[in-house]
Amino acid sequence: MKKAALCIFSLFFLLLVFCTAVSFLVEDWMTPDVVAVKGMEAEDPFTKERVPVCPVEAVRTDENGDFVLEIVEEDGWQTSTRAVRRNLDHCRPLSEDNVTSPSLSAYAQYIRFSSKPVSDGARVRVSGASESALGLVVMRLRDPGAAAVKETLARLGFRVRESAGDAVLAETESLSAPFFADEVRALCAEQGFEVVEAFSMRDFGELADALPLLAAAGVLFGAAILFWALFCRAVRSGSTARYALWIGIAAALFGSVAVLSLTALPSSVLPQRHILDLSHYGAAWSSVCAALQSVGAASLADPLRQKAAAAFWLILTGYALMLLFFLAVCVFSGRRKHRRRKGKHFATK
Amino acid sequence: MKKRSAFRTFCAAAVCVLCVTAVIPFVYILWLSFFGGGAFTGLGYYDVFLASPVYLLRFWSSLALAAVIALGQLAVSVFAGYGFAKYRFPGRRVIFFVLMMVMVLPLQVTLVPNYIMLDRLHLLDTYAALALPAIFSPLGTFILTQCFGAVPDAISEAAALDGAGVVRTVLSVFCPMNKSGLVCAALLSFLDGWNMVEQPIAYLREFESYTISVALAYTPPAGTTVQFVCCLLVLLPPLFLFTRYNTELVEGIALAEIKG
Repeated sequence: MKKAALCIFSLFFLLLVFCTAVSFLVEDWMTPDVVAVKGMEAEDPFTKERVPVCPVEAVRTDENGDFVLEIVEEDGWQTSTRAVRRNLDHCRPLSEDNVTSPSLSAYAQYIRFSSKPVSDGARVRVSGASESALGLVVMRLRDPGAAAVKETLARLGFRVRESAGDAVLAETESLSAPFFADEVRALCAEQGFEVVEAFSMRDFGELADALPLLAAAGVLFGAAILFWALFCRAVRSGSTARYALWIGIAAALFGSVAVLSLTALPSSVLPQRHILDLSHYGAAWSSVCAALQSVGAASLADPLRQKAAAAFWLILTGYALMLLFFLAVCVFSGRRKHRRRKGKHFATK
Repeated sequence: MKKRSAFRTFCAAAVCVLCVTAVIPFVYILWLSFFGGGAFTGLGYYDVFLASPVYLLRFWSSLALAAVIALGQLAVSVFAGYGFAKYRFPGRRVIFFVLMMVMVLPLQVTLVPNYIMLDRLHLLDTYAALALPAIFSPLGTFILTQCFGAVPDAISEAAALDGAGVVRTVLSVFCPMNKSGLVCAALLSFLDGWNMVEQPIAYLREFESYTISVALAYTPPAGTTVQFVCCLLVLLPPLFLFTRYNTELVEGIALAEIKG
């Protein structure tokens, strides 16, 4: 009972230590980057009074009406910068670019663009000056037959390389990091056509680059579990090696966390709610592949597929080797025990 | 014979009912940690263990505080208990009686005097305000006085004859002989430190400093699943200590009882 308790709770302990370290990374990866815009005061042309206003791009709409996401500093368990929903009652346009509502504040900051959908109460990171680089963007348009889509996109800085059906593959020299799909949608909406989805191939490339590192971290974590299993065997047999095995556990856990800390996951490709939502990755990947397929640029996805395959084989090989090692240790130590017992048996005879 | 077996059956049934009544809250918490929102979900576990480090950091800081309290009280109680058990000095009985009186006083009675004292020492809003009063709690001294008192004087005389000083006698002779008493004292003081509620509320001003036992009450209303998962997290250290050291705990309490 005591040995079983030691084994079980040692597993809880090492999982808690691992989760503590990894949670810092997960929180950082999952925090969406946002572009903030400040509320202002402007004179209402009708009432001639100073009223709070905010840019039109900050206003969002859902089934519950218009709202903005205000950036606030929370305390308590939620200590950090967070987005809080403010429903806009009696919202009306004040000018072409601004709207006003009694719910707005002239001193607040509102989210203009975000790297992924932001929910009420979600932690956010206000993005500073972002670097711009050459990159490819894959878009799906609502109305691909809209007049002069190519020319309009070219005016916005997107050079169309291929297009077919509702999919467009465009190149831009001002691809922001992080990528704000909202910004692309807002720019195109101003020109009169709707972008349903927009993906940055660079962000997907970064995700694919991260897959082998994630696989390596997974293998190292598996090694820590393997050492723990050997520790449990040593506890049962009373071997002094159980203390040395904790060095192996610590080294494997440290290695796993160190590899994870080298990984950079762009928030634009991560799910909204939790990082382990595999259906989101599958859906996003299918959308991108389908769009690339339809524009005849499926080969662009090949390097990403290769990295994913490499990650898969790395995990499979790593875990297979660990399982073989564990079985070998069990068989070898079992044989040694049997020989010792045989030796004792003959000695007593 | 029939009467005896009926009585035994009744006792067994009563014990079963008591066990089920004691276990049901934990099973309920475990159930609600998965089904708190209606349907099965593991998101509560994800939110506590992976989504953010706030819960686990508070768990580790509370664990460190409770460990410091347990070790500190053990260090103080070992020498205080040896002094009460083996030395005859004027006022020993009176001081021991006062110690026992302080031990049975409710915590709420000493909260305000402690607050005033800690304020004068400029220790308010620090972890020392939680640790110091707990380290000098009389419970461990009481337990170890009883345990050390059960050791014959001849042992300490033999150790002195071999050239051992007081510290050596206590650490190398008395402590190994009274492991169950030491474990009992450490365990009970750890649990006191782990479960403290009034002291953090009274002595700490910032929410960030609250131990996890107190901070749980401030979980946002929408996070009830998170709260249940945190309850399970808080359960782990006492569960481990009781499972691993239940024999020593019972022996330590029994020894204190016999000689009390």
